[in-house]
Amino acid sequence: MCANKATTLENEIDLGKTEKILEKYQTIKGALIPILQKVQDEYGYVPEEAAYLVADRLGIYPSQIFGVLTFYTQFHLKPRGKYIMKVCCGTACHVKGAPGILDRLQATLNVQAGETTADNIFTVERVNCIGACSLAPIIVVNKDAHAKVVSDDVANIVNDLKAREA
Amino acid sequence: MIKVTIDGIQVEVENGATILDAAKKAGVYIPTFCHDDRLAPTGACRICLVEIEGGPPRLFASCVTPAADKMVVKTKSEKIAKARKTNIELLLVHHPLDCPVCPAAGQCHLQDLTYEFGLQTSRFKMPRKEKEADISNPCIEQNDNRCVLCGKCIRVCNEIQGVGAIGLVKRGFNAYVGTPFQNELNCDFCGHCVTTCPVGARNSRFIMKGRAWNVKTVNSICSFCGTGCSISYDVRERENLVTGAKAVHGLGINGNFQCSKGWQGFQYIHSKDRLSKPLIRSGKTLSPVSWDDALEEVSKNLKRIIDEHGPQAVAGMGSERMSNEENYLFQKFIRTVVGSAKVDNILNMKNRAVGEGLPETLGGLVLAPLERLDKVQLIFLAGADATEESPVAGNMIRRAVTKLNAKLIVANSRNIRLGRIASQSLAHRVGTEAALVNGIIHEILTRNLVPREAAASRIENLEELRNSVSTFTPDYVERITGVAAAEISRAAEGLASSEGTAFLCGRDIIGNAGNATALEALKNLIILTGNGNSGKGGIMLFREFSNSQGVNDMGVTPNMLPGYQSAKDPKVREKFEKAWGKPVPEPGKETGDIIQQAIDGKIKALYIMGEDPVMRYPDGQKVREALGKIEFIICQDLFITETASYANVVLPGVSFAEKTGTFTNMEGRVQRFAQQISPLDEALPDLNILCKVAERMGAKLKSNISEEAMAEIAQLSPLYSGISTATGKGCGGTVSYSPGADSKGKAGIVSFSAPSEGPKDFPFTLVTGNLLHHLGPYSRKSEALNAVAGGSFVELSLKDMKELDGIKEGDMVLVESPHGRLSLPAKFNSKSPQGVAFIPNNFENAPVNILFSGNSEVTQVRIYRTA
Ligand code: SF4
Ligand code: SF4
Ligand code: SF4
Ligand code: FES
Ligand code: FES
Repeated sequence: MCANKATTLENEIDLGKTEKILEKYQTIKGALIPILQKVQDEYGYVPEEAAYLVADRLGIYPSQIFGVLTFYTQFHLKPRGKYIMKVCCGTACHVKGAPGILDRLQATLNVQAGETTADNIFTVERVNCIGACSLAPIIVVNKDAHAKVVSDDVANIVNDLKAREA
Repeated sequence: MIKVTIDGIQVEVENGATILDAAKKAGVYIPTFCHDDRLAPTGACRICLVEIEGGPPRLFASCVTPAADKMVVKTKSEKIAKARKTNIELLLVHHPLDCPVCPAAGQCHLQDLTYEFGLQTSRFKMPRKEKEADISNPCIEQNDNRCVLCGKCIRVCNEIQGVGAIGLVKRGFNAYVGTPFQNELNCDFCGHCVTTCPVGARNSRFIMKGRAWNVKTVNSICSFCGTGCSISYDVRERENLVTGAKAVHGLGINGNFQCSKGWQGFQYIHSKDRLSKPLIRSGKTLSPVSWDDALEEVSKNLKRIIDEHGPQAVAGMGSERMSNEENYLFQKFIRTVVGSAKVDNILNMKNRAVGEGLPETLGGLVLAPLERLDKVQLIFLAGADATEESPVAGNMIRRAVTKLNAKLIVANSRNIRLGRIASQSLAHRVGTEAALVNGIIHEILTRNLVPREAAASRIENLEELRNSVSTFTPDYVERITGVAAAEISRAAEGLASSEGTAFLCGRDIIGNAGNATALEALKNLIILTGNGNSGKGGIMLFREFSNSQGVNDMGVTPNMLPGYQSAKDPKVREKFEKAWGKPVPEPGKETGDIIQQAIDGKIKALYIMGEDPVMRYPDGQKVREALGKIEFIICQDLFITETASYANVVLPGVSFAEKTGTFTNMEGRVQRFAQQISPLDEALPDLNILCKVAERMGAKLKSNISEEAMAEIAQLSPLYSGISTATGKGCGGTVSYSPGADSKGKAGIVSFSAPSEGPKDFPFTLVTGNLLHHLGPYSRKSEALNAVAGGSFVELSLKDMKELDGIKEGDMVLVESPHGRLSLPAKFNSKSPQGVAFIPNNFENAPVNILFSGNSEVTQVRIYRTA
């Protein structure tokens, strides 16, 4: 009953990509997590339909997959933005004002940490120490790090990126 | 065996037993949360800690630690108490200690231990979860604050029910039990998770209040389907209430299993719609009257009609959901007090071959017990959506396949759920089962898959059988059934090589007279493959209601007296006349069942005991017309059913909880259900009602006591002699419908005509059946079951929905057959192949039988969008 779910959804996402991943890894024992990682690499997140399909093919319950997906923080269940804005909230960054920076970023983009803007451009995330404490406080946008940020920088960082999109 | 000492008590246990097992044997109590004998151990909660003397200094979780020879175990010490206490305190960080409002109070280990340690609160101060209970589901609520994360609900759903609807979500502080992607809980609602939760975290939302300390449990039988599960009911004696129901590990044929009806269906007992008084019709309304007036009305009218038209103008309809004793007394009443030979029941009216014709149909085959499913190599499931028709039997099939390595071949016109675990699914066109089975036989014989000598030793008329199937070549069968020739060959190979195959037949085959040939063909296959009586397999027939089998055993059929003794045989009649002290009428020569006879004007009065023909007779228009023509209708039931609304007098009987009796299940097992509470309001036990009516008519029916009636049955019917029903465990003796183990069988010759192509303007084939959550009129009186399945629909394949100009789930469509029309919301179901629609037969506000005609519950329909 539950395992049929995938087929009941109007398939908006292209499950072909999941099929391809499954083709390759389905028969390998213990490949669940690598499969889910590959799925996430493909779509940027793990779509529900894909998770149901994986469950069906591996002969496990979707509830078990959901358990894995929510156990590890590396997995995302919602589409993510083009720019992932990671605000470090480790101890050093915290002391140097990360909370204020996060607040400002959330206000500027009108989303909470963990959420994505409606246009799918920005995702704000709160992360733990990323090992660059000497540069605290720090925001990492995809692969680019912005060091020693002050609250007023936030608007600039966002505007630069917006300009790139325009 | 090894010797273990637990708290100074020495016990011997099997090698591999855990310390907990040993402690149980020694009668030493160790508290547990996550352990359950039925489930794989996880050792997650660490409340069952013990010390091993002379072993490592740490503590061991007794539920996962194997006992060893000469091991000395302490279950009580300061160290253990301290560790346990800490564990409890960690749980109490979140657990609210709201025992006064918790349904588990009085049967909760956490409560007991908190009490034992005298804890008021936890030493650990952390933010509490303080989550609102999740009541997004209409039937089951989840209270995460109370949850101790033992995972039993999850494991029972995965391991026992095989549904896997819930899992552990997130981790650590945030962990909780939930559905994947926060989707609405969409499951079997078997209730195992609820009845297994060791605390009050997972509950039915329809709790009937009953504290553990003021309920007593009564072991009885479920009153719904023909599987005949044993269920333990909670009873509040003082208030005369049944408050709960669940299967108990090790009790009855079902063992662990229960379905949603077994768990929550009992609520009909206390439905506010129960009739509290008899009713008499005046004009258009039924009004409450005294028993005296009602009995007077019944006897006066019956006597008048007998005087005016003769006794044959009176007919009786017995019940597939009432006891053997009641059915026995009912036919005795109609035959001797009224003097009419016209008694029948709906099953027999639908398909005589599995009604009064059963012994003849079985032709020497013996019904196999359900437990055989655990031992066979292969299961052949034909025409049965087992998980819906007979959910617990369906679960036994699942267990056999997933745990005991049985193979499963599913032959069904729809993609049923068990197909997902089948090694082969033969998805044939509706109504072509006989051709499919003949095709398999053809394949076995032409390829000598069963060696010639073996075949000849099993079947007397082998050559005749061979000739009769000669036209069923794989190609021909593929054309008729739509099943690929290669698949038919593969099925034939599997069946021929299996040492022990259980053949299960369901509604599509036995509930349908049009399909009698399919059963005949299947029997040939059973004998041919060596699964006749001496074999390791056998035949099982699903039965719709708790006593579909018994009502026929009891002779509530026109041609057979109790025990399938022919009423046409003067010697048999003489025997019964002697016992009953009254003449026994010979079956009449009228053609057609009593509904047809009513239409022909031959029936003036009809006594219906516990049946709802308006909903259950295959031809809905015809039965309504017939009832409209009958002058005087008596209905004996708990509710104003659809049929009772045609009645002139309604007599309020009682539910199975208010009386004692026996049901005979699909295996022929006679099981006793025990009285739990006294009759509600003015309702009377049905045996009493029959006796009282008889008395008014100037006759005596001898016994209104169930045990005495059973003694009379046993005396008159060899079938039931020696049947013991008095077992406390709820498992009675088994009736055998065949004379003995004759290993050589005679093949029945099957003629088959392919179902004709439907008219072009009715392109869909419509089929029907019961939903998992409903059966007969009673399940519709359970609020919980209505909450999970509240209304009818028409199920279509996704492709058909798209092609019917993009119908979406929930859109209203009109379903029209040549005989009638119904307006229903559309529902997607992957079960339906293209071109097949399904409407459940459970909803009185959408009676699917008005679309059917004749004796078939299949028809062609057209479907279009209305809104
Ligand atoms: S009711 Fe049954 S199927 Fe539903 S979640 Fe609970 S155990 Fe699973
Ligand atoms: S809901 Fe009950 S059974 Fe399930 S994990 Fe929580 S405490 Fe255990
Ligand atoms: S399978 Fe049938 S007998 Fe068993 S609990 Fe369900 S309805 Fe009752
Ligand atoms: S705390 Fe931010 S980088 Fe270490
Ligand atoms: S009962 Fe033993 S660890 Fe839970």
